[in-house]
Amino acid sequence: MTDKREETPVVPAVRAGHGVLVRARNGDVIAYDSTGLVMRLADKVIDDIALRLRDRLPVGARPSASGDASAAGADDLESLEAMLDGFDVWNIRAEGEWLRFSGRLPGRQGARDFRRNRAGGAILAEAPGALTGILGLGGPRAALASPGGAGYPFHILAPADDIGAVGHAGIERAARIDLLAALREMTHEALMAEACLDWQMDKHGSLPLFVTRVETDSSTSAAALADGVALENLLLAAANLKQAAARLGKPARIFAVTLDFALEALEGTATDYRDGMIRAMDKISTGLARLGFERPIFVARLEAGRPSLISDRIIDAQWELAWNAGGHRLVISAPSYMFSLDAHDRPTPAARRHMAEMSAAAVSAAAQRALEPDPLLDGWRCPVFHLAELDQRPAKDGSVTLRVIGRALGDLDLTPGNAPGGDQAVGFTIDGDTSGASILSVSIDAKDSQTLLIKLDRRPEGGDLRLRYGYGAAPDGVARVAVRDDWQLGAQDGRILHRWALPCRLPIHAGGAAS
Amino acid sequence: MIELDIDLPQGALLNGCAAELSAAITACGGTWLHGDEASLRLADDGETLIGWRSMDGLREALPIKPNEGHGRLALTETGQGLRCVSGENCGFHLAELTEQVETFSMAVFFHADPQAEPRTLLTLNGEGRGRGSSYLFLSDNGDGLVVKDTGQCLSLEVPGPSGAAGLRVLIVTVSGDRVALQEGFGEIHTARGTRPDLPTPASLFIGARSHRGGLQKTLGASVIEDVMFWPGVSLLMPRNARDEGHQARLERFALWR
Repeated sequence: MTDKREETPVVPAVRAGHGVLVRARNGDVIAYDSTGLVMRLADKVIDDIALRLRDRLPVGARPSASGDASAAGADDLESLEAMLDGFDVWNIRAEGEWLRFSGRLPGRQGARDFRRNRAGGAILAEAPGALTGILGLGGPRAALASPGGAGYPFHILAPADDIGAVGHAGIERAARIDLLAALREMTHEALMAEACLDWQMDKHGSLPLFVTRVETDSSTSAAALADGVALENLLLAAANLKQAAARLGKPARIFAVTLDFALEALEGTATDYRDGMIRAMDKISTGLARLGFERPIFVARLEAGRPSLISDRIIDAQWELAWNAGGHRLVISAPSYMFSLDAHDRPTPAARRHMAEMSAAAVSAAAQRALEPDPLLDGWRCPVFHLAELDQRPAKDGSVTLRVIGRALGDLDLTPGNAPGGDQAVGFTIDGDTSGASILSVSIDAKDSQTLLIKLDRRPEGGDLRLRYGYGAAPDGVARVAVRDDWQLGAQDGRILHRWALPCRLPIHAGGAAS
Repeated sequence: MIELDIDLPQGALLNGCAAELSAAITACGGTWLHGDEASLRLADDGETLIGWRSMDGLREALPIKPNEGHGRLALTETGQGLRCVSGENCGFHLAELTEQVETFSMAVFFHADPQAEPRTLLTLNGEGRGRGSSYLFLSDNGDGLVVKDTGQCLSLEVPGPSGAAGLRVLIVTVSGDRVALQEGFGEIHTARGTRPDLPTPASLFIGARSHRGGLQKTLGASVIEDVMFWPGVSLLMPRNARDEGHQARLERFALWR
């Protein structure tokens, strides 16, 4: 609801997607909305529809007499039995508004108890603890989902508004609903839940019930995203999570809110982007607090884009946000250069699972820390470079050393530039140099495992000298190196995932001692 | 669009439910304020609300004393209405609306502002001249709904988030020593207390509690699009077919709203 007090009202705002098709002298007869045609049918038509639908309503949708569940109970139980016919289930029983049973159903969860609401919705696994939400906000790229259900079809769910884990795409407002539905497609958030459940399964841990939903719209600036429909819908999804938990008799919590909005920010400066994203996080945090949720952990990737398509502005924008998230708990799970893209610039299915594993690992690590984040000591951080200093005097052999001071949670390690696993190699490049300096070697300072020494054949010159890493066209030769710390994780497909350094374009300063 | 040069029966018209509802409210002596161009009277600046005429044209809600031109017209995606702004008195009242404070029902259709609580929506209070000492109000405090009287005879609180976007409807019924509250035709919450000492004749205050400036924190942000009052009708605790009929007409109107 925007403040329209400054404007002169002319005509009432027309509802988007609504209109009139047939108008009689004394009123409208046939209209339409985004779901179809709107008209009022005569009583005999309604009677006819009632007759024709009598035997066709699916289980759960059958109206029970004035909400009296017990009256319809026997019938529901029969329907559930019919639905489960052929599966290995036992001990089917009705308890209040829930129908419960034990069984061995498809999925990795093994034999356990399940339940289903008489009013419909999905079959849910009986799970300990809170109903756990993973919500996402982003641009159209964030709505990408792999077809197919979850490895834990009864543990990973979405609000039962028939939209699935991929939200309303900013087209309409989310409905209020307190039932849950199974997933038909796997978003980043659903894959995060699946990764968490896999890890829990491996260590015989508890398998919580997850609700995932990503809401997107087509904003072209972070400011528009903060004021957009997607954010409103995200808060509605959180309200639905709360209601669904109440109906299940469980507390609700939010594991993480994913942010996937960077390449879409076509407008504004780097600081505009940072301010817009902080405002979006402010609104989400306030909205969640109003619903009774704790301060959420936000998780994002640093998008390096395609070498030919990424702009310095987008890197600067994300860099600004990574440094100053306005007091929010924002963790950057990974630089995008470690994930491979398909021919349409979408992450490949394998990369999407890896992305989710990195996000889940980052949130899990960050969640173990106190509520007040310390950007340098938080439970999760990708290595970052924050200072590039050129030694004053050349060495005896005429070379000049550029010291790159990094910050990481472990010792830095150098690998070949194609080791991160994306389609493009990465490395170090001096931008803005007019002297033709080239990089002779890149090494880790023997005295400080978080400092890199880049040896140049001569002193670079230029008004705006920058050290570029991790995005854009990759350099050839010895500068083609990638940097990571010593954290690692075995991915589901057997690959070892590392925590790679964030892309940057650091101003090069003069200073420091001779080597 | 196809235009037909004929008059059709109300049943075939999309807003036919509105005509039925309006007729029924008038018949029981009630009042319905509906946010449309014909009902909302504006000052010459085209945006300050100076009056809100009832659907049947029999009554008009007017600004209360502390509302010195604060109440503005707001256009929403579902229509138009009175914009209440946090901390500003934008209140209206239907003066001396009813003598019937034993049993009555009232409803409000409104949009909440995602940034602020709607706070006071409706209040049944006197003009300060008649008998009775307490007043009864309906408020959405953001973390729950409250309907209670200041004499502490009736009190009903429904905790829980009210983050719903879009047009919301709250319905209140008071009948003797019982009070009931419903949001959006969902669960009906009820509570029992003692009979409140409400003033007669009673006025219906919209977006405020009385003619006094009042506590700022009772004044929230919302856009109020419809206000309805049924004297002698118990919508939420129906006693007979007549009550049920009123309830069904309201629900049908809301469905097509």
